Amino acid sequence: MFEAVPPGLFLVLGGVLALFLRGSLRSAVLIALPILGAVQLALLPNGFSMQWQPFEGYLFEVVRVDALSRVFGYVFYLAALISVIFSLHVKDTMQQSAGIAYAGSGVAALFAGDLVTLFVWWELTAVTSVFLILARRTDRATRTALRYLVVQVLSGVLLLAGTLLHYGETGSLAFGALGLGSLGRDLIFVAFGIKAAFPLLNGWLQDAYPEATATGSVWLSSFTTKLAIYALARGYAGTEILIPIGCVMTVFPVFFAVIENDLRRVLAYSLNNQLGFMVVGIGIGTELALNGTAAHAFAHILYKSLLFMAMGAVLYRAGTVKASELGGLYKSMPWTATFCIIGAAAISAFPLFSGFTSKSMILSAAAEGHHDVVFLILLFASAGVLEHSGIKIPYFAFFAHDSGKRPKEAPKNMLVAMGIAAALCIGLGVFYGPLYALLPYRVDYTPYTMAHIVTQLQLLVFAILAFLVLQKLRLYPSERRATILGADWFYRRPLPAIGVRVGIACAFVYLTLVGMAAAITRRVGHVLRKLYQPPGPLGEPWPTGPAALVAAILLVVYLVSVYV
Amino acid sequence: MTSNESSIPGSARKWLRVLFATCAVLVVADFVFDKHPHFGFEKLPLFHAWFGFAAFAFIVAVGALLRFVVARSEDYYERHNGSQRSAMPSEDAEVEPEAREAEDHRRV
Amino acid sequence: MFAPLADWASSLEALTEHFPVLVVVLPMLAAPLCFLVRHANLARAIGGLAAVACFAMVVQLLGRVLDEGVVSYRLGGWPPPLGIEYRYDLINTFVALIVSAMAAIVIPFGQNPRAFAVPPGRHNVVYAVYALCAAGLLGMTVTGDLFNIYVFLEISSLSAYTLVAIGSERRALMSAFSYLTMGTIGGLFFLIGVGMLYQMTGTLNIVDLSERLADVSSVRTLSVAFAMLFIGLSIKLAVFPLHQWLPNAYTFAPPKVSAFLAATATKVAFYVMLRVIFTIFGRERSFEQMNLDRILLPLSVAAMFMGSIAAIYQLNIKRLLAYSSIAQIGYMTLGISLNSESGLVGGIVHLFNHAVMKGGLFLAVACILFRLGSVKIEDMRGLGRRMPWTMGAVLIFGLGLIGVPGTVGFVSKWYLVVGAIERDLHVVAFLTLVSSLLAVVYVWRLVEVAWFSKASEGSSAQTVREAPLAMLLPVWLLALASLWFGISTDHSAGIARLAAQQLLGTAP
Repeated sequence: MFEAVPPGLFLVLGGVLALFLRGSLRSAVLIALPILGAVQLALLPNGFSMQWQPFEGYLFEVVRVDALSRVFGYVFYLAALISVIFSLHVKDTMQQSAGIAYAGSGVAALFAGDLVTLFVWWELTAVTSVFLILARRTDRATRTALRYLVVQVLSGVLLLAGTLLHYGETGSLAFGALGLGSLGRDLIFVAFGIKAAFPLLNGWLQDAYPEATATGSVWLSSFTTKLAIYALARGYAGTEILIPIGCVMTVFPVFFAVIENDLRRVLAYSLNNQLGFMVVGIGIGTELALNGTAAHAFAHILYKSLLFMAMGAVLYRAGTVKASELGGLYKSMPWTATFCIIGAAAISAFPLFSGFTSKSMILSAAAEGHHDVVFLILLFASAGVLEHSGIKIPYFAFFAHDSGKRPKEAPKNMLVAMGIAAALCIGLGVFYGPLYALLPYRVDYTPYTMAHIVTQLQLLVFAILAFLVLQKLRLYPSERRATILGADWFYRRPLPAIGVRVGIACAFVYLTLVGMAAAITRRVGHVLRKLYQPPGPLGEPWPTGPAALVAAILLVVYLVSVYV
Repeated sequence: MTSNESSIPGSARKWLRVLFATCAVLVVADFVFDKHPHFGFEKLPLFHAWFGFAAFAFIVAVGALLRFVVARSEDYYERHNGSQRSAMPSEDAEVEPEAREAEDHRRV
Repeated sequence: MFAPLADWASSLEALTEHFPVLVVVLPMLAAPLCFLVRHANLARAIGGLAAVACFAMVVQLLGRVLDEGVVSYRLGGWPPPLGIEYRYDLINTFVALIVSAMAAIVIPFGQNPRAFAVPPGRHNVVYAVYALCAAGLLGMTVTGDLFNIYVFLEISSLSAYTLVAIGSERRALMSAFSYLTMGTIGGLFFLIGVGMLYQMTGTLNIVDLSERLADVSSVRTLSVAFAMLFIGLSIKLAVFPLHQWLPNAYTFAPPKVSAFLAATATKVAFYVMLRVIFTIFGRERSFEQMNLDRILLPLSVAAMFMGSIAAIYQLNIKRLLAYSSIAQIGYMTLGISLNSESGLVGGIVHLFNHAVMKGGLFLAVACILFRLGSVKIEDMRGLGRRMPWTMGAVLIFGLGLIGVPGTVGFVSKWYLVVGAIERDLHVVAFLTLVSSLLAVVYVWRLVEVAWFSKASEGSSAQTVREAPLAMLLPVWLLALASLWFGISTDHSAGIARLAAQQLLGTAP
């Protein structure tokens, strides 16, 4: 009976069901759903496939289970479980339902065997996740949510357009290795790239995640971007352009993270940087590199949600996650502080933590491929990770100068969720065998060699030393209230300004294209509104005289066009 | 840090000592163990150590300079949105239930 | 003992033979009857029964057409081309099915007494006009004679003007007048085109006409005739920029009338256009000699955008739906202008899908107007909580307008985009997808108002109840249909594909 249902569909339907439940029954259902999903996945063998033919000539593979999708599937279910527990205290029913349905559509997308099925779930992750931002119920969050939705839907539209072009070229809808080289496949690449937050396409990530609710950003951090990583690994493994793209992704967010004041936005930058490591791994494309990417995604989902949970707890209790207003919180939130430090150690890839056993595979793959520059960049970025996630997050939130704030320790359910994630961060660092066994290719890799341990510790410990020296010399930039412009600036600022000038001058086709931006930006909206909102000239039918004249003109135009 | 850091509390002093000791051990270890270098540059003595130190310092320096380019006042986007509605502070919306209710009332 | 039963069966069989004409005659007879009974509910029962019977007959005929190919019925026994022939093939039976189904859904369910300018006691007139309009539309659809199409066109148009004018809104009369003027111009163009064809060939039977046209050498007269027919029908169909009559007509008519007209009148005009382009003139002549795609393609794309953008800014939900209709008509004509089988399938299947969605939406608006007394979007704040079933259906239809997978809208857009790509019109495929984003915006406006805004203090949106079951039933029937036909496409898209093959002459 289990096999008849696509993986993930349970969670989507369960999310809808949960809207109508209350109290402990609701909690029980929410917790049971991801567990049930994981059990189902365990029962499905690799090579399992489910097909559906709705139109003649179009065969859809709704479910396809293999090793690559399986490892992502398990960690998605795990992340869903942790996020559910973390958000059990939330009274707003919409949030948990949206979250679990979002996780479910993410899982279902992992097991899509054809591009159209992928598109369907791809869009559903966008639609379900936007509620996690909307649930904040502020004016600012609502506007962010709309921007987020437009970007995400745009990614889906590109995916669909690319799929159709690809279908026209090859007659195949299958989602396997694609590679670049035709318009259709390039469009699909860009669609994946938007969700994977490629450089300059990353604005939505730093824009949206910090605006979500305290629990919402935990959900958000796990699924959307890793789904894109999975899709890239499936379709574009070994595509060389991914290596420079990934390198830029690992490097440039670290500079922004240094001066960003909103700690959840720091985490969003850090997330982007981590995605860079995975993208590099996909670009290298060897078995070791792809194993490393999958392992790193697995470990990353856990420690990144742990960090987002810690900051979520701080936001929930202290009311802000601005570095300039926090400090000294370890005194009243010792457990949260401990878990946060564990997450920080894991993301910085200290030995005995999960980041070490996963990230070193990607670095080794770069070394084995003799990519010396790439290796140095990744090493550099590792120091960057330590800076913003390893030191900045725990230091400014829980230590630094005392803000005088003494918020209560996080609620029990939050502590349990963080505890599970923290335990897994350490567990995967020590007992990495089970994770390695899950990886898509056979693993022949030992993370703990003396050389690895010593070099990694040298890098990290001396970087910490640098931090202390800079602090001592008062050279470390102080935390200051500010808005840091990122890639989201491009669609938040110049787009409207250009739109007004060019939009009036050009023909209506251009105007309508800018019309999309109108939903986002009130400025252009103002111009269009004048034209289209009644009694504007295009929003109100014309009187009969001109209307009849149009008919006559059209007739003449048509006849002329036939004769010439 | 703008605040005065010159007086370091005792517990922090203890952690500092641990850190310095670790540094020393790692310097020694660099010459004791074979590092299996893949690249020529890894053969330099203490390569990872000084690379980590330099990278960190570089990141912080560039970050500090970047502030001159990309830092704006906190209500930057609100001011330039052409929004008739006043920009509302949103950081306390998701806090505790009471605060969230208060936020609800403020919604239009 | 079995004799009477056998008699009865054989007489029913004899009756079956006459179904092709009864489909038109029955509602035409029902109309005066409704007028004479002078009792609203009795008239409703008569009109409703006639509509349901029509629907049943069309279903039976569709079965026959699928089996036999073409069903031809000679009026008065005169053989065509001398006599008038009612000719059922896949495409017009499919359209007749939509028309009769919408009539069967709209007529039997109660009217909002406040929506009409006539007193409730005289509502029998309304049903009489409904029946007449349905008779005219069905006649247009099934007849095989071009002049006969014109006659039925005028019957259906005159009754449609009446239906619009009978609305209680003050501006209903003005918009009916504008509708009448433009409709008459369209009808006149059509008539001139028919006359020119008759002058060239001496026949009015469509099949005969298409055969004789092959010998006509005067390209000039032929293209004028084609242009006349095309522009005339474009006015009836509300192709951008000839759509100016439509927004006000749909806005100020009673919502159920809008539901009926939106789902049927433009659809039948679209069918006649298909007939003229593909059957009478033929694909080759229409596209290669007349360069039809050169004019229809840009107009369709413009309609998709102008309609959707105008819809975004409307303050009145009926107006919003009316402008959205113009965009949706753009998708249908896009299907023609792509000049490929997939494109045509997309156009035809969208005809069906749009009838389901827009019919359902206007019926939902009828529910809103009935309870809320207003169709202004700003008055609908927080209505999602008070009228969850109505607004839930609106959401389902809205997702269909966007083209979300799992709804009917996705199926049509799929075929349209595939058709565009088959013709290497990548830009058109892209624009089709982009225009869907605009639909996201105007559907989102409704969602935001209904669920994410709070009803203002003291407004009636705070106190209204859910619409009565009798009004919700047809809405949800259509909502479920829009989901069902989004998943199971065998009937809608399957028949549309066969119909397209028949029209293109590529039937296997």
